[in-house]
Amino acid sequence: MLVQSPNMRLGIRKVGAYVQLAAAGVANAAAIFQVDNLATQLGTRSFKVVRLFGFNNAGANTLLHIGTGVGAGFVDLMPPIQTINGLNFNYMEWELPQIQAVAVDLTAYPVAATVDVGVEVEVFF
Amino acid sequence: MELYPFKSGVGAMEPIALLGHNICVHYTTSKYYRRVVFVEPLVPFQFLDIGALAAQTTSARTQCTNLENFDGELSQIRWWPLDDVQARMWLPQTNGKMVIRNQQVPIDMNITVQDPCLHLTEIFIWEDKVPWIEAVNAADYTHGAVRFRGMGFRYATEKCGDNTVQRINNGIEACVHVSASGHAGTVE
Repeated sequence: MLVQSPNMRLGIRKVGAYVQLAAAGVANAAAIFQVDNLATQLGTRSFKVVRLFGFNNAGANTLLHIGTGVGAGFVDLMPPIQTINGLNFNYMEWELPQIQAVAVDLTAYPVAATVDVGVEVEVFF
Repeated sequence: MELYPFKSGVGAMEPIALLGHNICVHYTTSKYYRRVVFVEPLVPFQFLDIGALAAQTTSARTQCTNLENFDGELSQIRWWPLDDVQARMWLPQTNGKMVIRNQQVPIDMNITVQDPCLHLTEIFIWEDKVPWIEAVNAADYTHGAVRFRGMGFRYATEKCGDNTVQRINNGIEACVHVSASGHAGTVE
């Protein structure tokens, strides 16, 4: 018999758009996952990052900041990640801090451009 | 064997009645006393694709014509959205399902983990009186498709005689009552 138990704290896994962070610096922080926040939706959504993958195309090693907001409003959600020139990176859920963002988009910026980034998140609603 | 609507199981779904059992379908203010003469399961299938839905928009209220039954037939359907929308249901078109005083409760993708047997989504469809669905795409991007899947049971029925109805109402014969429409709200 197939046994399934309800899990009220399990989210739905979604993927953000593939983003090329072609402009360096906090002023150019760009959304790498856009959370649903339509006024007419029922309930507030939050999410946690469960996978972070990408490629350093900057020509040099560089830091990648992950957080929310842009410019002066940018807040790091985890320590910046060192990315190595010309290499891919791929962090899985157990390698990432279990940070959560509520109703705001996840943004990122590299200290030196360009870094290509994608994320998978688990959305709770 | 106890058979009743909205029964919760470990990943399973059970019919509300078997051959020879009595059912009473409540559709708005009408009651239809019927005896089951045929029953069969409906494995998970796609019954509606609203199509592409732009970012942060609500679809038109769309009739689920693929859920129509033949005359004298009832279906018991549990359903879920395949794509990331919040879906509101009406049955019939102007009568909301899952409505509480201040809001209408939508169903979204999360239902498959929060209610794996989907018993809280169970609806009943009498003949061709099918539900209508509105989908809300709250995302900042377009969905290429908005699909809905369902599963359940199909019952062919015949009308109960007056004696049987009387025996049901007197509590002598068993009968499973199901509601096949929304409810506009109770007024005292």
